[in-house]
Amino acid sequence: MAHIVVFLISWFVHDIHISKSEVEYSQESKSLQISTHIYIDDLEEIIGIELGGQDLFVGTEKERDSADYYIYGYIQDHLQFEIDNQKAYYEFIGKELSEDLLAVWVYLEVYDVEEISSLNITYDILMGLYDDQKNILSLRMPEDEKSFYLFHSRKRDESIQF
Amino acid sequence: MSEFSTYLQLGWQHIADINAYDHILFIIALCATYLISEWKKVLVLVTAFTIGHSVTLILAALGLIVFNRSIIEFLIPVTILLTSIYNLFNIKSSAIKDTFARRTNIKYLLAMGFGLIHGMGFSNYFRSLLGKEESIIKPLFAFNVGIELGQLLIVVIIFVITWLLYRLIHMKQREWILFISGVTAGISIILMMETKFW
Repeated sequence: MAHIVVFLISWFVHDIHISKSEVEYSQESKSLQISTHIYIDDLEEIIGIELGGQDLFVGTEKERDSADYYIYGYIQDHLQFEIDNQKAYYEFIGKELSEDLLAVWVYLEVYDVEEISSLNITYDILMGLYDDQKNILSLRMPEDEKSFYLFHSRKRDESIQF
Repeated sequence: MSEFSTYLQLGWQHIADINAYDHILFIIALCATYLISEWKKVLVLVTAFTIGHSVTLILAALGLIVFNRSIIEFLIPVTILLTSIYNLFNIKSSAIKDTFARRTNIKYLLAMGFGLIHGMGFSNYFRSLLGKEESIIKPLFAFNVGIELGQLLIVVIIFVITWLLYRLIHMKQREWILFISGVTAGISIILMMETKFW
């Protein structure tokens, strides 16, 4: 039964141009933890265009060994953070398939972040593919309500002061 | 931005998005045949549609109903086509308003039933917006409010345009219904061919 449901859902060719990221600053581990949700078909297409990575078969048994390398590379180009006006570099922690099997959650982490007083974000993932691509970022800082930021082709950057 | 205003904006933009005009087209087919003096009927009609799409949006967002998304994407233009055909068949009746009451009730029911289908379409989009939120109740509520506001804006724009057409070029209601229903029917058939799932 579950197989039938999954088949029926993945049968649908999605035309929803949304990516989303959840960003959380952990005071305990002094790190900025990032989870990014991207649709696989779009991600493979844009990696082919921008980085020349072909036939990655992300999320399947045939997935190429270099898939993570390309995904990490693409995200580094299109999801960027500056902490207190210094470029922040994140590590690739891993990825997993979303429940509907259409997308991946990619996990990234910036280490050794002692404190954050300002954050500049550039988030234009997949905007090279679709004019109507929208990216949603939620940010949770310690002791703060989660705040949300919307990115689209005419607004790719956000500056946040704390 | 707060969570509420983010999802409100996303709901608003979703229905009013000119690139994803299927919902706009349905509202045109539903409302464009009315005169501004019939605003009470339109209010009931739009409310019926709203009840329909809110019910399925909420049920699907909470995971209480599962459906085949490609069939829903196909059924949405079908609702537009059926509404357009309904408009064409009721041109005569709308001239004789007194005998029209019963048919109007059928149209309210249709609007609600078609709303159920559109709500499932909204839920496809809504689910793609969600992160790993602890609770989806607040985003769901905000998204739905955004959809209602966007819908209201579309209805207002439709009435401003038709009012201007009646005032400025003295358009006849019969011709207008023929024209607009032909347009919505034609576009819906193209959409059906694009979304056919077999």
